[in-house]
Amino acid sequence: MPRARRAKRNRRGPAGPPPGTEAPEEGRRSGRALLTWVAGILSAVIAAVVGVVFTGWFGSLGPGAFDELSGVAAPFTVAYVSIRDDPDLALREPVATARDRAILLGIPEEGERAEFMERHHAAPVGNVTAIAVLNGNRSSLRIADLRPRILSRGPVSAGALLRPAGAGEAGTIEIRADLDRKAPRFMPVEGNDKDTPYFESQQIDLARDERATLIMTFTARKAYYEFDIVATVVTGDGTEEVVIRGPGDRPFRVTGPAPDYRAEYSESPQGGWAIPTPGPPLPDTKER
Amino acid sequence: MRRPAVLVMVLLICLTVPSGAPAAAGEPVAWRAVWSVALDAAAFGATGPITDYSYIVEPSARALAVTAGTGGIVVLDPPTGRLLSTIPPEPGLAEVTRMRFAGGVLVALRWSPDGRYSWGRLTAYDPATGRRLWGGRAAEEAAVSREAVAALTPSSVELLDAGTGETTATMPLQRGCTGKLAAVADVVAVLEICGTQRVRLTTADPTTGRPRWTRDLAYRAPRQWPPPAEPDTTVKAEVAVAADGSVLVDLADDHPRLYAPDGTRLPMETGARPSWDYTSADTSGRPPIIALGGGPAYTVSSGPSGTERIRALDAGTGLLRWTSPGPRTKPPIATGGMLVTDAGEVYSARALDPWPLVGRLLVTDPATGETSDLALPSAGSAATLVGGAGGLIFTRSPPYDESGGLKGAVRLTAYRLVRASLARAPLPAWPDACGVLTDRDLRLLAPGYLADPHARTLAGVRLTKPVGCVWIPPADEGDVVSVSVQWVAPSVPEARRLVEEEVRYGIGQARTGSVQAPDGSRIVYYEIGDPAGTFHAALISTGPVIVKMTALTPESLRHLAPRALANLQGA
Repeated sequence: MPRARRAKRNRRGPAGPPPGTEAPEEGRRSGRALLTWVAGILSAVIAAVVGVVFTGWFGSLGPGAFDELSGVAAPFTVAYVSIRDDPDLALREPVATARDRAILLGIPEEGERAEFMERHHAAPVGNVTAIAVLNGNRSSLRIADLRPRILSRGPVSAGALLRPAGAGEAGTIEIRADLDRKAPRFMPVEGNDKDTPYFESQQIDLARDERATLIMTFTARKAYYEFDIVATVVTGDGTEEVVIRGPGDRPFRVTGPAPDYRAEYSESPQGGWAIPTPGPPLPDTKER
Repeated sequence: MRRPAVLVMVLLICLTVPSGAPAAAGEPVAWRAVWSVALDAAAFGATGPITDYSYIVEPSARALAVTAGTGGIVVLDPPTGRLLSTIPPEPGLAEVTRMRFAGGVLVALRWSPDGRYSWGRLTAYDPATGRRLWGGRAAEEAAVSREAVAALTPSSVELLDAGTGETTATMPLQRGCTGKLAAVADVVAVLEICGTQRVRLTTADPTTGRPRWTRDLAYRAPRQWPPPAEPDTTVKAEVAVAADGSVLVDLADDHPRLYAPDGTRLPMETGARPSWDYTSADTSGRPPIIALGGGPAYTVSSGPSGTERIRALDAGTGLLRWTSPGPRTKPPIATGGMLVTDAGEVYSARALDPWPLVGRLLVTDPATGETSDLALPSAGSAATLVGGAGGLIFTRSPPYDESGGLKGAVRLTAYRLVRASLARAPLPAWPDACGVLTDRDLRLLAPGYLADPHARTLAGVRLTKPVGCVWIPPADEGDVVSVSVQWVAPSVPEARRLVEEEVRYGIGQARTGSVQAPDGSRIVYYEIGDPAGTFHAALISTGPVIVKMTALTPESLRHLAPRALANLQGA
């Protein structure tokens, strides 16, 4: 169930390595040093509990950040999730109100801009790449499968197109999931295994406190999608599903390109978005 | 050798605080300039202009060494800025890439211009006289202790006597392995990196090379799906030592390692990224770990937003003593019982930034982590924090070609922290940015502009009136105009001096025109380049007020900037 998992996102364990980590390198310790060391680790745990250690960090987590300490930890947590922000963005509705125009064309605070993008369901056009860093919470676990789960589908977004400067420099994509397919799976883009779902042959094993980075690209041509990613996780206790959601604990989004947009904006050097149409009453013909 | 043109320009007594404030007690309230010196390219034996990034400043309590481009070095007296000595370029060697003080000896690492990258020669000098003590020792990296120099070569770490350059001990590296090193007064730390197979940390006596303790570090390569096309063939390792002998090792594997001086491992959070200073030659790589009275403090960024923090630990227990807002750019400088770091840019939008006009430095109390955000009496564009020693903080300006012939002059300024038991002087009244232009003014472009005010916080205090204002055009195709109140100086001459600095160092070649009124009010027009294109700006100053206006087109600015000046003069 998404809500239950949601609280566990973006959380990390207490500071410091658990006892036993890198034990071989430590060599022989004196009794006092060992005590000091254990005290240090204990202190980090205590500090984490009282929430002093990562004030800024916990601030962004909201309620539920301490679930793990009450013993309901997911097999892994998402230490970090982001989307690559190079592609064009499409908004579902045109920007009309005075406040929204001030945010779009002007120089809003970061929070206002994010809230605007959320309210307009801003979606990358054509493809989106999600990067998630997973942190293992069990002595061993295996991620046996990863697949996108579509939460909602609609016609492609055509309200407005926002084109960042320097867009279009997409990196090499090795695996992708085509959301237009009936049951989308991650498939290799090239090679002999092109028809075999990638995570059927590439399984991810994580030890406790070990991390792995997933780079996942999703494509869409026919529709607008909101989705999350479901991981099937095998641990000593059995099989579980863990949901990876997008930044801000929101669904990931992507839309197919529209034949036409109500308006098209380019990134303005001043900071907002602008319609790049030089001409009266603004006779600036400087190349931008 | 040419006589360097060293111009001691001004000895400043600064204006922002009452003089006679107690020097060592009370709260930090301001920075006071102690001296300011301009060094031109000729001071370094250079014949052509010098680029901004080639300057290196290395401070110590008894000498402040400055070099640029060509390999010549100027040594100043830290308390006064007086010239102590000049050191000519070394024949057959290229520019200086590192300077360090080993006790009273200045050691410089210079590139060999033979095309072998990262391979150079060490030379040592008496900073008081500039006399060359020894030279020619091969090294690709160097670290110094109280009396020894550790020189990294492809096969070993050579420990040299700082006074003579003679080898006192050799710490061999295994064949096929590379080294990284760091040193403080009586510890040298060496990382031996063998591909991705093995990483060993050794701490040793810097004179005898006798190991104190060693650790074999279990490296786990970062894991990624799909795997990178070209997997790493070696570990990206860094090592730093604090003055108390604490060691920080980063193998870029999400598990930074922190060791107490006796080798006990102290806890660090998984995924924390130590703030290595890769950015500038200026600081010669300020380490992200420093020793405070009670234990080490390290600077890390952690979390998805990369929030940077300084975290101070108790040496005995490993307990966290305090954590405070960290460096936005580089690790802090410890001097005179304080930690100092750049406040950096807080806001990311472009028309309203950078803001404010003046530079700011954060001062952290090493005992409590309590941090004050204090303005420098200097434009931010004119002052890069380059170091500290003996209770003074040093900043450097970008090089500037004066029309009078002083080419590539760089200005070094020393500041002292002023403490007072009184609260800081209240800020002067700042004008409302949205009042700088009226609806009637905007009608020159089109009827129907809407003002969007932006409030801001300065040193933790929210300014009462909006200091930024963005005017949204009635049609999407129209020009967006912004006004940002950049600073209100405590006096008119101070405002003029700040504008002068900003025009010289901040605007520089981007200037496209200027207008000066008989009362000293000014409008300076310039362009601002951005990856998304160019936009246009005007720096408007009248009385103590300094305002920046921007627009996408120069025409909008030419219409509106004179109006803004008139409105400010009338206010």
